[in-house]
Amino acid sequence: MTSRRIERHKNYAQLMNKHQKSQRLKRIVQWVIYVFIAFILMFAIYYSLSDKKEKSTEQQSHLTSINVNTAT
Amino acid sequence: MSEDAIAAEHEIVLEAQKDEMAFGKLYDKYFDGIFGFVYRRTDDEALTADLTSQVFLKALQNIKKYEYRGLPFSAWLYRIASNEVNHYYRKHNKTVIFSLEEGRVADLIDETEESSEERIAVLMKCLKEMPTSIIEVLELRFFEEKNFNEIAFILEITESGAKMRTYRALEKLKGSFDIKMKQYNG
Repeated sequence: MTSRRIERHKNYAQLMNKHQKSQRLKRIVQWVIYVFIAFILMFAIYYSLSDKKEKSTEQQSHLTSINVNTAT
Repeated sequence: MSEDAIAAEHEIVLEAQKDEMAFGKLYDKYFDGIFGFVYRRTDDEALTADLTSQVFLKALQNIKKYEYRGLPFSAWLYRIASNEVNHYYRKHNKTVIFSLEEGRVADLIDETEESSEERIAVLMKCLKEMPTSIIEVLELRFFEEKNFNEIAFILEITESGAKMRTYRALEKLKGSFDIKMKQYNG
């Protein structure tokens, strides 16, 4: 194959465009992953906190019921 | 490629690692070589254009990960190209093609030999009978003129493995041909 024919396929500008596009896509995917991880962390924290709160209210209600029993 | 030339080229690579626009110099320098290498393995111009573009795109995307090992930058590009071509063939379940130009094959045979056309035909037949793993080493050694260190890096094999494959193939060929000793020993 002649070098002139090979030259026809040379397109650095197109290569750079493809690269920039893929970089943008990579950044978007990375951002989505970070957001997803942040959501999971937030939910994990929320549930662990709400679970703790539920347990403490349960304990409190148990104590009041005991108090009620001792009062009578 | 001399050590000085490799070191000078590495400066361009370092520049490209900092600023992607500098990659253009490497693209211009190696486009023809990589295109030819891929074309000899596909025999399809459009497919070669696609795969070559993919090779340079991957190189550009991973330029920051490139580590200098005292080899020319082209060895890294050839490695990516070889992997891209193999990946294409695996994905499409096709048999690997090796198209060698007769003129380049003729370079292997002693010019003083008579009826070279017949000899080339016999040589082509011998090459066709060889496994792909040996052909790719021969191609890189004699047609791309790579040294064993580069071949080992490109094909992800050991240097002694590359030498072994070459010598085995040449021993086979030497039975029927006077392989140029300069290239054999190089």
